[in-house]
Amino acid sequence: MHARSFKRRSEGMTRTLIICEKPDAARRLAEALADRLPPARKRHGLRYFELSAADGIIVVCPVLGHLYTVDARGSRSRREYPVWDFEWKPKYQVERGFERQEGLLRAIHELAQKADRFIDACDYDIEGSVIGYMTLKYACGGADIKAGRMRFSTLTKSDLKEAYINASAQLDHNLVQAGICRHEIDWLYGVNLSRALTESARKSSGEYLNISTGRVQGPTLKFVTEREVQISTHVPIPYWTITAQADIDERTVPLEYSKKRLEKKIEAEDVAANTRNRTGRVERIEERHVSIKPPPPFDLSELQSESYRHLHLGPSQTLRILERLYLQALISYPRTGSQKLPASIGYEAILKGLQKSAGYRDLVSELLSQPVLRPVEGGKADPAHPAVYPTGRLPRRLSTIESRVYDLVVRRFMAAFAPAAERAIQRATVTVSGRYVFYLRGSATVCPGWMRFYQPYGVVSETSIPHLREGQEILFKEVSAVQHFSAPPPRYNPGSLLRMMEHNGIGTKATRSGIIDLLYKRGYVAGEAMRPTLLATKVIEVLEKYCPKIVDVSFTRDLEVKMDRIEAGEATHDGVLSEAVKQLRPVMERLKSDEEMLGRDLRIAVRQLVMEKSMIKVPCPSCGLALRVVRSAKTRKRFIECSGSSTHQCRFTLPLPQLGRLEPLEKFCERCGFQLFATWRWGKRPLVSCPKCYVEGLRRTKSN
Amino acid sequence: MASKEQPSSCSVCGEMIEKNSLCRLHHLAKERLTQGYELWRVAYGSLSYTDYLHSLIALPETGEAVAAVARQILQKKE
Repeated sequence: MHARSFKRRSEGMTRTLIICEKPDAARRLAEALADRLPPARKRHGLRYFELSAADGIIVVCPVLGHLYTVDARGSRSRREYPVWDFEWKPKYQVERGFERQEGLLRAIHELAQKADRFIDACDYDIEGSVIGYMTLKYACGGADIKAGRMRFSTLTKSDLKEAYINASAQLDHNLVQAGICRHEIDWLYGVNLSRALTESARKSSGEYLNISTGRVQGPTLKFVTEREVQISTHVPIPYWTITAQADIDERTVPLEYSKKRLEKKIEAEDVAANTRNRTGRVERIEERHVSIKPPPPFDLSELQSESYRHLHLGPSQTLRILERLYLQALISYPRTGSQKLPASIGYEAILKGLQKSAGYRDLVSELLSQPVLRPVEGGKADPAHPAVYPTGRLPRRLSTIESRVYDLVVRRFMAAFAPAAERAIQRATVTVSGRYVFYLRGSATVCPGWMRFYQPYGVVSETSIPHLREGQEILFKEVSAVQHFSAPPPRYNPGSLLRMMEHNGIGTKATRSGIIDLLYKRGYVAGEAMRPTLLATKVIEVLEKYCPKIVDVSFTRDLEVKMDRIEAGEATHDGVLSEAVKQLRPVMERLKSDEEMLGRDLRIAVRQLVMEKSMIKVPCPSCGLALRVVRSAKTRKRFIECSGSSTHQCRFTLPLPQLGRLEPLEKFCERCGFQLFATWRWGKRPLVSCPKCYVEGLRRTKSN
Repeated sequence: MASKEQPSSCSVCGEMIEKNSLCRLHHLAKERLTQGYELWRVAYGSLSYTDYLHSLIALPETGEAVAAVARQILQKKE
């Protein structure tokens, strides 16, 4: 091996192994570095590329996300807690469904043995840095100490070539250490707290239900349950508004009373009685022009919010689409916290690229005719990546929803270079009997500026007021006092919860949407307007009772700040980790000693959720009672049974698939109307079946 | 002498008691209900407590816990 390396070096031929985060990224990088995309090679299931370059042979290989994960040292029971001793292990050894990664690791290890230069080309952020570091350290035999780092924000040929030429001589160790620390702390908190909840509930209720919580998940769920308490204890307070209409130039126009909200009924009725069918006098007409700056370029959170507002896409769904657009080199790296567009991205080249699209041609031409291209920028900055922007490459084939997200990104980018919009705001002040003051308001867009570029997303309403002069008298036709009641605050939706997490500084741009998904997956919330389940309320109650710090936003935020300090080189991995462990130890000691009481508090909620999950929405065809999914204590086989099996001696049963994860669907069989079930097995499409039709099919086969 | 036994669970929902025979949620709801009555009285000039409770129960904006406490108070009055 050494002799071979020496021979290659002596011939001036180095062999460089580049680690990419995803297969698409590896393909794009290979295409950028070679004159022509070389055919993909295959080794133990890993598809990689090998190409010749001026400085030797380059091998570009992808990893599929994280290949290593944190786990308890040794092989201990997964029910034991607290756990303080951990190590990084190959993911396929720890989690189910990652068996394919064993072959990938073997392939990377073999490729690494032949290489004498290593480059980490994973996404330039915390997660990407950890993925690259762990692969280089463990699969490439300690190559992390000699590996370089490529840094790019788009997967375009020019950016990738430049990133390869300018690859730094070493990894960004601060970013790597910050990422490792985040993973380890999250694992310690998640595993210990979740095991404490799950085990105490299991011992008390006899039911196994995965009750998870974590450093960020707990406070996030608390936002939802706290909002529900506000809604449930809301007392509507009465108030009144005045609606008035007047006839001006044969046009009926609405007027607004100077006080938007009247707290007393008598006051509201007094205004209505003393202004109805009276004449008002126009005292003043004011008009002012306001300039509205374009909205800043998109950072990920703002993009997810805007996508939810206009396209009704959840944060995770938006992120998945953005990742697909990034991998097609259509947009820049989406996991960014920046609202800045540096000149180095090449404004003109991007706009010229977009100009080739018929939909954007006229708008881009307008922008390019400006003497200088200078975008509006927001306050947020991210040292790793600029704001999300289109690369200027035009999409070939996109799904409808991908096109809409792409359009949103393009229009926001164009709007950043457009001039400010100008709106004329008019207000006429009308008084009745010198006492009652009303306003007639209008607003019109004088110069649409950026709004035209951001259509249909930045539409504002236009209301004009009739031509008036000061001293003019107008007749008040309809005036009435309308009673209202204060409304409770709205429930969170995935978009508003994401904003709340960001506002409170918990989680990262990469993890927030996943945590929201987890709340649904664990059965903590239901519905688009997120309503907490009984289990969620109980979990938060229990955590507040036994370890209030864990659901305290400021505690989580402090930890985030400390982890950010590692990234900035102001704190060390070991220091922050030991402090986090110091905080968690007493919490776990208390949870362990109060395990019985904790379990008792969770018991009812767990039983209810398990019961809900097992109940079938179709009644027993034999006796009309409810049907449920049960598991035989003797054979451990699962099947459908009538809930009246013991009380009413109903013997109705139906078989169920025994392998895979079973999920009752909200769909019903078109033939017999029975509830459908999906069975999920790794690597296979979900099998959707009707248990009743299955049995009838079996009977028919037998009788034939 | 027989002492009056304190209830062990919330008189509205059966959960563990926090204060005044009510769980945390229903205790909070009752507090808000009492505060709200003052605001309603100011808004309408005069209003009986019973009418206030009846109005609250009928409103869709009223929180579930508040409505439950209001119903219980009315039941006791009857």
